[in-house]
Amino acid sequence: MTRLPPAASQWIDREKPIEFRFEGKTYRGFQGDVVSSALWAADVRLVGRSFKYHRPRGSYSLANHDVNAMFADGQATNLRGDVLPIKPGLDIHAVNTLGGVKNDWLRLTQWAARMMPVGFYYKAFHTPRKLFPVYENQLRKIAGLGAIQPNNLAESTPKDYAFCDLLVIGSGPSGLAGAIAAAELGVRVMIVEEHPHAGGSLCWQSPNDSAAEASLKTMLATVQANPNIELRTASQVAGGYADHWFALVDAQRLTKLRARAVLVASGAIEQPAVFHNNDLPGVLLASAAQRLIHLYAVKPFNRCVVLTSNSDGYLAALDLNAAGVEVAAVVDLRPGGESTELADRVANTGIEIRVQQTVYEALANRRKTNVTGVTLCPLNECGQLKPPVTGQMDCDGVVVSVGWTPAAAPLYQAGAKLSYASHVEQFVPKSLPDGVIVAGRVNGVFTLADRLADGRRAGLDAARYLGHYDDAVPEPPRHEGSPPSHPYPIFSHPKKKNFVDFDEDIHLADFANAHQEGYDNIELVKRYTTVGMGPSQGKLANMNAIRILASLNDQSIDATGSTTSRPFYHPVPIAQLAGRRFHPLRRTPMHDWHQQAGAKFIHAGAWLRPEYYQVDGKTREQAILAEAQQVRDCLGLIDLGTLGKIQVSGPDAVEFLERLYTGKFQRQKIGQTRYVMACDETGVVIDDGVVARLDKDRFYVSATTGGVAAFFREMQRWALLWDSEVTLVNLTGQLTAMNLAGPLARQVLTELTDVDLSAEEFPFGGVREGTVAGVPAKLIRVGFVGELGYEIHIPALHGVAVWNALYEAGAAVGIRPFGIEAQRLLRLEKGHPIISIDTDALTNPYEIGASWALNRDKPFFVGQRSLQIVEKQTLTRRLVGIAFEKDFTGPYPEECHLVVDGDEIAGRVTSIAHGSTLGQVIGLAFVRPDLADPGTTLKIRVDGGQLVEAKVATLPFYDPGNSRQNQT
Amino acid sequence: MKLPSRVSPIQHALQQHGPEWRDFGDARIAWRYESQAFAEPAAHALGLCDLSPLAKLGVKGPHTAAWLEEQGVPLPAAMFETLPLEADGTIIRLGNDEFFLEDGLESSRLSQLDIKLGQGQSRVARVERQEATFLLTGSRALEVFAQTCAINFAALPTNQVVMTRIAGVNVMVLPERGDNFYYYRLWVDPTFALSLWGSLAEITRQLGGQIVGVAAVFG
Repeated sequence: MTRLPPAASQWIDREKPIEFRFEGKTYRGFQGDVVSSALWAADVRLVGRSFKYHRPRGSYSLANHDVNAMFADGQATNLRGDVLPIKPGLDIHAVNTLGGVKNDWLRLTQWAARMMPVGFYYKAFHTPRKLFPVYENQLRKIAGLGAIQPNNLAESTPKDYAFCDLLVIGSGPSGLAGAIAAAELGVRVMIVEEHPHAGGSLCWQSPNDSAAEASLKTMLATVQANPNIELRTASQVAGGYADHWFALVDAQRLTKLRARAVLVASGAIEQPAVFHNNDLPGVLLASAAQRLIHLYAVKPFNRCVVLTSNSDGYLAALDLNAAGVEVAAVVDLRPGGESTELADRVANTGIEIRVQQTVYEALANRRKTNVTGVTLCPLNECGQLKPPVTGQMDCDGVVVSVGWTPAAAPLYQAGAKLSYASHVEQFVPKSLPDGVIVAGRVNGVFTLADRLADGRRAGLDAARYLGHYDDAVPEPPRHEGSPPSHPYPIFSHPKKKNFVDFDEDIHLADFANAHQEGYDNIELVKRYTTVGMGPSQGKLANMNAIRILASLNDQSIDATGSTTSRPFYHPVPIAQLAGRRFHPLRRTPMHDWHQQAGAKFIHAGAWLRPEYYQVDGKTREQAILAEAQQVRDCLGLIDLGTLGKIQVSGPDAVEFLERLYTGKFQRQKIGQTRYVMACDETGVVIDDGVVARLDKDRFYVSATTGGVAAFFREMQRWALLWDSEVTLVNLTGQLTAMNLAGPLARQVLTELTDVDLSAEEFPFGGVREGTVAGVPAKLIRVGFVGELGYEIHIPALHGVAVWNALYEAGAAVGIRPFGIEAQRLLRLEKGHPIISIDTDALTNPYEIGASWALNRDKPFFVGQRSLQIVEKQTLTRRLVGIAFEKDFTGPYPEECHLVVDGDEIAGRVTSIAHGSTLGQVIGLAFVRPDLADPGTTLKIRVDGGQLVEAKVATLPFYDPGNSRQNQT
Repeated sequence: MKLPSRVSPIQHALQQHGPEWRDFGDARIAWRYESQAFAEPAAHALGLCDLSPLAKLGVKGPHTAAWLEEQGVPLPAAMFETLPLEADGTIIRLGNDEFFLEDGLESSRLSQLDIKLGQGQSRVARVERQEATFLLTGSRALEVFAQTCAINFAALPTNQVVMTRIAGVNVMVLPERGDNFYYYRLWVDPTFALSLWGSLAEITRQLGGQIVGVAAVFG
């Protein structure tokens, strides 16, 4: 085909030729071409294969509904040729073929078509049962369209948010007129247009109409000049959600748009006629032929037949004729034909008009890759076939213009109700939610003058809704004359292949079969036949399916109803839904220091914590053990920045803590700390920590790293419920902390602090406020790891300075950092359980041997009443220490491995250390109480099912007299 | 022992841009960066700037408002409203009885208040505030917010803070107006600072913006 002469309406730039490859062959097009237009211009009609029968298929709508013209470029797949711009280097092939689109081996499935009626997969493959995996394997290979390339990682896309007063969906005459009317009244408008140029159908349906052309030009200039209007082209409204929240999708991103109101002027989608071989390459919607002519300067055919039932078909015939296409005939389904002056204009060009006839079948070449002619058949007064077939015409194309369906997805998703209107033979809005306004073809308004008037009316209506206009709004125009859509452009054929759904290869007889089997509801028919379930989601199929079912049920269209319209309007790449990945991580102030020191980090909730520090020549386990040994023998420093840190102050602080925790605080001395445990109302342990009394009514509380956020919320909740006069502040991020631990801790810290560290002045369990390295600090003498140790709590932005000062001061004695794993080992040796590791969502204090932490003589604490009940019940498990023989070499159990007694599960391991400073494997485990006595042999099932033996040990494993941590 | 300088929680990330550090009191600030002759225009278009080491202070408790008034500190009337401190800096009302204060570059007002707080005040609790402070500057700053936050900042007044989530991180944002350009002050928990900075810096660069020193904004 040659390109047509240049014209103002065209989107191509002939100064910019572009080469691209399709199925291994090089083609040329121009900038502005889409793949489908460039291939059509190169006489390539066969561009894809159908889903089920692998029939040859070509372009059909040129409007983003051509799911039989889908390509893969090696990175992305299922790219639609009717909207995919060509660009240099583009190298694509058709999806869903085996051996290429021309010689697709899977076309052989056509010969088995009789064995694959609708729903066949529900009835086959389940017997014999043993063959099901074979069926499944083979079907999975051939089902589906494009193949995902798992090695191609999607690039991060910049998902964003946008805001406007009025969203206008569609930039056709109604949308533009509405946007301008509203914007001129001060409304901030965003117009979203799916195609790369604004104008809607004015771009391709009216270029030969000078009045329409002038109208478009004026409106586009107004839009450009009005600062209240933002026009987004090549962007689709992919989904509508509650409160005027819309998902906009363009080539790069998903935009979440919040509008105060929406004007839906999304137009209508031209619909196919159903006749034998209506899927052949060369059968085009009239709007597609007009797009080829007016947007891409492509002459679609040499000789064609126009099948129509409305004025649009006559306009298309005139356009084709003007483009040099010989129009063999206009075949009009209507008994009376076209009543407007268009009939005379067509007749005056010499085109034959055949009234009350239809295309009975399209004739094909041998490989069924092109149309070679049509046969025609008369219709009776009711529009049904009235054989015999009377005529045959040679042609290389069939143009179809039998009606429209509203592009109403945004309306349905916004909650609008639509009903069928026989004066236009389409669904139109019946009721609209607040702030949803509709105009144009989607509103059942078709002539240009009506659409402009309806758009202006809708713009005023929107402005009134938004408070920018309080005058009267005119009534919407009503379509006059012949309906733009035919009520039943569907014709049976004994050889079938009269397709209703091109996505899923569903032809007319499939509906009859489904109906015969009892599927007489539109939602059930959809699911049984899969009509509308393909990539186009039924944009070219659903309306005809409804008409067919209505006919089969002998019901009205309204009684038949429509299926649910859900987002997305077109498929959206998952990468765009995901958008840019934000995974916020928390880092302590000393993070960079750890990194430089070779730390291997571990995720602890949102935190990154040093698990251990890599040492050349040592394994992970060796490095961890060495860090632990360093603390036992010398001095270690660990980052405790993640620890929960809460300030509690006020006149009711003591009372509040007494109610919150299981312990007592009335007599707690200033400068002392107490271990605390908190339960929920059911008596389950939810957190623990240390409460330090800094003043009469000022406390500093630590909480677990993972639990502090939830626990702080609980504190706030209780403070409100109890009406406590307390001031609660979560300082977890504002303060950082570190623990200097080991026999030499006091010696090193003394050099840096003004606090008297002597055992008399600062005994185990004490808290002091002073400075460390010049920085205001709270010092707490703790024993979590079982050695002399000082927790140092300081403002976060001074964290690095203090850490460095400690490290420099300790350099002379060989200080080393230690990570979270060494700390876990050291506390395990001391037998300290960690809440949420050694406890679960049902653990009470009795089960972990923490009844000593319960002050039963208090009038109240959270969980007290539940624990009074629990106390009277028989325990079902107890947390115990477990130890393996010193010569035990594995296999080692892991956390959560089961303790087994005969055939019963008798417990589980909660913590395990494969090496310890004690020279043996130790751990903690929940076990049945009858197995909890020290010395009892436990059997633990490890990976692979093997049973290994450990003995219940007395806790703590290390320093039972606490002489190390209490060092004087 | 002398109090060491407060350093930004993203100091390591800033270091790679070759900053010229400048001390303001005990705050060490990235004043300007190497090879940024046109930093000021960049800040007016789209810039990202770190002011984290500025001194901050929180006060909370039933007598807080009265105590601040006694100290001559202006009090915003409504929740989330802000006022400038008399020398330099900002006070924000976070609740009936809770305030957040940040010194300016040349101000040391907060250290005076801190000393008075340390003398023991009934029902006024000192709250440690170590938030990182970032400035997102220029006419295209809204585009960065558009990619990171669901709030329409274009519709907000300039003297009110917004508590929201940006790039997945809880942030307090104050729209402000400089000489002929807008900027937005962001306060974030210091432990999330590097994450947030990384996200904002990546988007800022993609949009053609720059990491700018404080001199480009207030110099």
